[in-house]
Amino acid sequence: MSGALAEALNPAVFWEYRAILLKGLAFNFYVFAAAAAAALILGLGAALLRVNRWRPLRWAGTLHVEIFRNAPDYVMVVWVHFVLPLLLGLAIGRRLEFPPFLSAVIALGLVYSGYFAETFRAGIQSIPLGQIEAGRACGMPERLILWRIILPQVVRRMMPEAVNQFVSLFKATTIVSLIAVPDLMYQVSMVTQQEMRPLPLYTGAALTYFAIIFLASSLVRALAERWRQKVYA
Amino acid sequence: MGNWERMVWNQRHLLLDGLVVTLEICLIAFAAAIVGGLVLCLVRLYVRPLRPVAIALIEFFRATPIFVQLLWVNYVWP
Repeated sequence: MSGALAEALNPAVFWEYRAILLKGLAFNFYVFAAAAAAALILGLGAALLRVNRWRPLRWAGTLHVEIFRNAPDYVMVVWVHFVLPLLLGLAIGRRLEFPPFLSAVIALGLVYSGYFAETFRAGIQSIPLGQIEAGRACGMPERLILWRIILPQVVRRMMPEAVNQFVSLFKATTIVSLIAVPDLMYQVSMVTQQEMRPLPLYTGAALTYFAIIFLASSLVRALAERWRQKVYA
Repeated sequence: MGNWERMVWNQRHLLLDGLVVTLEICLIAFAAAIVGGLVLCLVRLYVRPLRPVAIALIEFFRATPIFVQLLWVNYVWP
């Protein structure tokens, strides 16, 4: 038992392959950054649809949110990678294939855009209507009301929830190894097959993710809290 | 629709078996999560000497991705 524990916590193998594992970890960050950007933009779009005055647009926003929030990440990743290119290919009459990285970003971006849409919507609906009416009374165009009055407050109010979503998104980037994006988990599996020593490698991967997510989320949470208190009374 | 019938409808027993497994795992994991979560919560709140252990466990499991946890439990625990 203690032998197995020592083996599991033995960092030598993990350290030996640090170059390739770090490269894998970089892929986690690339996927995370690209998917987060896509999710924020699409999520804001869907949230604005959901608070639109026009009912069909509201339905469209709700449809987007419900589809992507209720599909498991893994199913979406596989579907976008294997089915979407075929459908698009049929539509434009050409054979189409997505590189795994692109599929991963599209799938995670879409799934998390559903969650971000709800976060944005909650933020938008928490702004008192009186402020919007005041803006209209001053003759502000709707777009300016959105950018100058609503969104700056929304971004501050949604910070804590958004941090949670980013953490979930980063954790979800590990499943992209299943469509052969060479992320940390993929490299760990590859090295494990070569070395036949799963204990230290998988333990190392778990501890690496733990360290990154724990530190990053604590840091971002603290910074966001300070920013909120400074800017927002 | 011929394809759909051949590939999905005729395989429905396999797919339904898969769905049953999903629901089983969901139920058992849900029960385990509630019990385990309650224990961790109570330890964290009321068992002073074990508090750091509970906090460490909570943070570790919250900050590791499910997929990593899955492989880790599968390969490392045994």
